[in-house]
Amino acid sequence: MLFNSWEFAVLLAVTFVLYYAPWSRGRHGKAWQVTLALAASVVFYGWKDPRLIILLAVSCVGNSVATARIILHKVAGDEARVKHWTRLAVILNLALLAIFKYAPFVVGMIPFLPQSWVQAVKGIPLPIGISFYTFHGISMIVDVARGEVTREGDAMLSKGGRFAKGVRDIGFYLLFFPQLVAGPIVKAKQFWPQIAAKRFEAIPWMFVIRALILGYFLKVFVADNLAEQTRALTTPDLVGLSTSGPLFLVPLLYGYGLQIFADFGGYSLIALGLAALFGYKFPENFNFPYLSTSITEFWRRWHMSLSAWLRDYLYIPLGGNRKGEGRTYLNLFLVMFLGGLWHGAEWKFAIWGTLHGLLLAVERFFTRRRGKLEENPGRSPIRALCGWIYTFHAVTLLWLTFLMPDMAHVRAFLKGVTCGQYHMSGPPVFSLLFYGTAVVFYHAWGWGREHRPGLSAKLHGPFSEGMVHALMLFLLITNPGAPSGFIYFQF
Amino acid sequence: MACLLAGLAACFAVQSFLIRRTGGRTTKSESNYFSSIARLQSGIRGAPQVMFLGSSITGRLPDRSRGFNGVANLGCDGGSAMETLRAMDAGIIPRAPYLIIEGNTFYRAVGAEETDVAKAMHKPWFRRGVALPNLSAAGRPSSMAYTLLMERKMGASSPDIEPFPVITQPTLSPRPQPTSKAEDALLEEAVGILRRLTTAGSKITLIMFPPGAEPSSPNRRLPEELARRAGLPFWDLANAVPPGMVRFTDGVHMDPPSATAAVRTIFKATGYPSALSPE
Repeated sequence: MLFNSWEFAVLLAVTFVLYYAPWSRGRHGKAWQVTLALAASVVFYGWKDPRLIILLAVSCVGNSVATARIILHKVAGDEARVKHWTRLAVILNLALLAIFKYAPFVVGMIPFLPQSWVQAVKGIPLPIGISFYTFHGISMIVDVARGEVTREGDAMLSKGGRFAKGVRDIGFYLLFFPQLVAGPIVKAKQFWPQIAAKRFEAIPWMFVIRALILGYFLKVFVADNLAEQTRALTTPDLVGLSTSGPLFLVPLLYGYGLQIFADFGGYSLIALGLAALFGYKFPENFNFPYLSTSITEFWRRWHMSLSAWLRDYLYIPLGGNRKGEGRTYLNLFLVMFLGGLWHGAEWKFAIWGTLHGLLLAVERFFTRRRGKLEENPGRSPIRALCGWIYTFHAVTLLWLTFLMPDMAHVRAFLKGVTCGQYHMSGPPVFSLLFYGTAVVFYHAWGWGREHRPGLSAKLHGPFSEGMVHALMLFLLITNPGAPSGFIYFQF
Repeated sequence: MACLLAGLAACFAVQSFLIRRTGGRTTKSESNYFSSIARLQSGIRGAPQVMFLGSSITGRLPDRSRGFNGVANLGCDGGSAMETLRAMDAGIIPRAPYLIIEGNTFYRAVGAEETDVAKAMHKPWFRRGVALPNLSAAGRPSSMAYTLLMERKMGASSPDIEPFPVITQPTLSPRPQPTSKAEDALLEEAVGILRRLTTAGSKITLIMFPPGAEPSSPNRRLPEELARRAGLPFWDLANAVPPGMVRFTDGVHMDPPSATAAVRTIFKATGYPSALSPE
């Protein structure tokens, strides 16, 4: 089910009304609300293909059993068994990912395998959002093992006869529909303490309205409209692509850079708004990423919940930057390579992640040489501008490997840019300007908030805010793009 | 919240004013999909006497929003007349007493899957856009802005333009054309639809618009064969107009004055109702 579909609007309305129904204020309010939200999440996830629920149920029950065991051993002070169960649960989570996401990719590379085997493995469907709920599962296991999940959670799972409630709550954490298929990746230690009975009066309405209007605006008005143009980049006609020329192709690539931000940033805002509607606070996923003045900063602003997950559960356990320079570079490379592969079982994603990792390593090398590791490399306005130009264009260029179906398309694009005809096509340029301007204004507002807080506060009154939100609402009602899925749903 | 509602009301007020100014239809949008939807939604509103069916070549022709009373333009960018013919046959969109079908792009329907535009005609939001112009594709601010830019670049059409002097007239096509199996299947379906529409009272003419096509190409063969099998008049307007008289914006689409002259030429040659002359 998509956030921008009518089915979802109905499901949301029904769930919302029942969630805050009068009986939710009673003694069993929490149980009612969690069970209802869990049921709604199952409907949300299994709407198109109910078979997907089976795998999700396996993940949920498996993680619940492991979590319960870890807590029991932790309470008993048996650290060896805690480690054993943690390792086992993480491996099982990764195995799910390996079978459903990476097996078709791996068998394709193994020579001499019978074709029937290859076809059988390639026929395994990729369950939507598996990368996200697997990461949630790992977070649950590791946070519990580290003792970072609250005492209330521990107590609930460790007391006899409450396992079913534990499964329910863990299921709720893994499945809660606003973050189920494309994040933000909420860590267990962030989510678990929030599981409680919620009151209608406590809904932060202003936040919800702002997040939903801006989120849907970015998705429906900006991303969906740009998508109609950028689709031309993935055309099967490679000859046409290689002769299209720079004036046609370059605006499309920049359009894609803005589209993917609007698509994923919009989705994340919708998720934050929906979660707040049900009384939950998710971490921010984007912080004006195109204001970044270095790739390092870009990864602190883009898909922040993934960056934080990779840092906490991969980079730091690998040794982070504590084991010498060489190891730090290796860790950076590994994290970015795996982060790239996390997006999809294809070489193009690995290349995309590796190139980002390479740029991160180069930046680290130069900042270390300058002895300014902890300082912002773009402090002077000129340096900040140069850093911004480099970062924005590098990130945009690297989207090419992310977007294109295969490397043949990347080559055709580069050939088209360097050797194609110089003819301008109106729609891509118009779309880039008309829809892309919204992303530019959004970032300009973010820049003002960060660098000119006084001026920003002056401009930020109820009147201007109401007008801007009215304009966004108007545009998303009257000027939506052709409905399309969210880009990150495929991961 | 009050500011938000007031702002929303102001936005819709400005949009309503602009819709009235554009005559309820935008010539072209940056999106092929929404250009087509806009023409369909505004074209089937009211009770048009003449409907032009075809692709983006048809899409550039002027209609009632450009001073041609009772004329609807149902051109589907990137598509063909088959999409609207099928919808008309299924009763999804109304038929008009006079139908002019563009032949140039009819071949696109051979073995083709249902297009996004054809699918859209079944959706509830499509009907809502017909009933409420503010929610129609012609009410999209991006379409209005793009149309404004196009008209600034190419000039707007004017209904005073004279018809082209022509050297041929619409006629029944006597010569059978070679066809493939897939083409035969499409022709059979199209002939059935055209016969039903004719029986229901529509007068139909098939036209090859400028720039026309090579005689042996499917662009030309198929519509001629369709006209022959359905017993309808066929006219190669591209070859009827003296060379150099028609101007194009990009080699395929007529510029606004030529498109207007083409419509007036068709009305003159077919003898379609005088009420359809410019307002």
